[in-house]
Amino acid sequence: MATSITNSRPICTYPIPMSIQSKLSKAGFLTTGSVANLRPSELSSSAEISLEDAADVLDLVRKPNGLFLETKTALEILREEQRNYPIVTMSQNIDKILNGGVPLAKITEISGIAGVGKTQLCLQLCVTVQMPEECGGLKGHAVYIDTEGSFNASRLQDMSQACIEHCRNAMNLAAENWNLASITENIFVFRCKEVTELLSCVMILKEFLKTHDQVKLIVIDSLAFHFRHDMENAALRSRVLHKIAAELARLAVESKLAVVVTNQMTTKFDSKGQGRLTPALGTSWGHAPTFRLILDWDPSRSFRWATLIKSSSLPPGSAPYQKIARVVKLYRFSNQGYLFPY
Amino acid sequence: MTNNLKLKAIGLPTAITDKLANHSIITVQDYLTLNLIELQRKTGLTYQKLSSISENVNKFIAPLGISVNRLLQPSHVLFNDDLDTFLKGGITCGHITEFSGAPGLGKTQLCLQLALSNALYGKVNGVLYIDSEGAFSASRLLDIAVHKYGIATEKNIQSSLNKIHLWRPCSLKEIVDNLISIEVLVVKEHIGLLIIDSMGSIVRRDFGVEKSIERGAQMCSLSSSLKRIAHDFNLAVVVTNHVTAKVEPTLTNFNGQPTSIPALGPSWSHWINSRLHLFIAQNKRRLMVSKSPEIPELIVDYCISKGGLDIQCETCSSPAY
Repeated sequence: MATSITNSRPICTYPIPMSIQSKLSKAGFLTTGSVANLRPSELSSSAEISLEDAADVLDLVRKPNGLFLETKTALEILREEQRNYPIVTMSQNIDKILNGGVPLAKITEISGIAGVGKTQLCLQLCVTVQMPEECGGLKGHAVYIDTEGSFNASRLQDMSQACIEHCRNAMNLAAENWNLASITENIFVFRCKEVTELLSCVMILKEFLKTHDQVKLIVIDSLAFHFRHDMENAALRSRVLHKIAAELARLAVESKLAVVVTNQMTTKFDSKGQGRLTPALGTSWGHAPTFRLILDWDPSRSFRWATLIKSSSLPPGSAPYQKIARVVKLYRFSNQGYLFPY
Repeated sequence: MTNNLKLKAIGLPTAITDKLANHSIITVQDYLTLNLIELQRKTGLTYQKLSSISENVNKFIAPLGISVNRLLQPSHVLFNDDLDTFLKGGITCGHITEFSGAPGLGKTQLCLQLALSNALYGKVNGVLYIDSEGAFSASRLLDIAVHKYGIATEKNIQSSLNKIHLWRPCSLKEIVDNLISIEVLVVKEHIGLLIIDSMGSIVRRDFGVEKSIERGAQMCSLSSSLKRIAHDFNLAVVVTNHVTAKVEPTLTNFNGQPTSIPALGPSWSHWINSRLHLFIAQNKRRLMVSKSPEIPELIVDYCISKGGLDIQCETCSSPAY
């Protein structure tokens, strides 16, 4: 019965100027309940006070009952964004085009042809997200949803070892601060073999994150695979994809974590019958990720390129749909992962 | 097969499953692809009720999180040869590995060698060899056994040849239709290695260019099923593939890179886990790891002798960047 108690709270107990208090009581507004459900214009005309004063009164009265919009100003968001350091990829050039790394609270899509290194980049992120703060990391945990069965623990171990050594040599990290065992402990792998498993898995993540609040990265490798065969109906597919995208976006914002999904490339035929490679899952999915990164081979196959094709934080007018925003020469594969940019 | 799992089977009250079934929501997939508002409109159940049902369904279906430590020891199927060192342990179980290459370069040799070495020394019992080209030859197996592994006693050879089960399907559809029979055989004969030689021919025979969408769908679902079997029974799946000419001949093989690319299109390349590509460059037969989650790109020269495929370890080189 808590609501009735606050509803019967007299108006005179609120910090309202006397002149307005008297006008309100003259008009018969004595308790919270009598005012709380009025519109500002109604209150202003019936108590003969100005619209601004009425809004102030309503704000005062409604706030303790939780009846107000939770807004944030752009400045506050900016402060938050500046506090959310991105997850560095350890490849200087990719970090550069992503403005520091994979951003938190956003969905980032990585697409590219087979064998170009999408899974490698995801594994690498699982390691770098765990770097201690003094090395520019987030000391977060990672969730890895594996639909293709390509998660490779021994490769992950190699990368972790290389990353730890790099931190110790280049940034003088004390040896006891970070070790291999903690890296492998803090990655949670979910192997989804069918589309329904993937759906359920995304839906239970909310519960999972409640008990694992240090998770700063969710990887889905790959989102496309099951959707390309288990869902023949294109309309159904795009609806389910949006359901997943909405859930992921919510998780990303609420828990301030980065979501990385990988996508496959498919051949799309234009009106002239010319085939060209584009990310799969259709155009409507393209709206869901905030950042879209395409990895590709250079024709000589001696190095790879990363191209940012969609981003919300580029200067206006410089990134029309599908226009290449920025291209960067990429890493070379080495045993240590991408630690050494080409 | 959770997609077609009946809602009845996951422990929901029958009153609710009956009600959902009236609105043709029978399988888990039917249920999960609808959102709560649509479910509410269709069934008339309350939002609270439906969200608690959803929670139960999700809990039942979602896979459990595995810690990386448990994934650290992947098992391998071995060649019992230098190739194992080159491949950092052999062919990974639970993965689909593809051998691609032009005709006559030794794809089938690799398959035969793998099948035989597994039958001779493998920890698992059986090999299922799906042969669509008619290239399987038991006498070649015998050759390899004698020349490569030096097996001479008849008893050894007999028992290992008995472990290799050959099946000759006529079409891709036949494989897809018989997936359950394959699973039965896998359990019954303790299959640890499944070889499809060749995926390229069986797909290209069934589907022309005009049926590319249907082909894509069938191949993707086959790859998903193979991956599921591979994961559930921890067996290695090996497929072979043809090659097609590279469309843009801009760069001739100046640094020993292949000029042919694996067939079946870019999508198929996503659906396999690793790929070994055989090609000829600078008058040498070369083997390249062109896709793998654990091995960086590597190229090695090889030759084919009476004992099968041999890599020449002294000339084993890293890619010429």
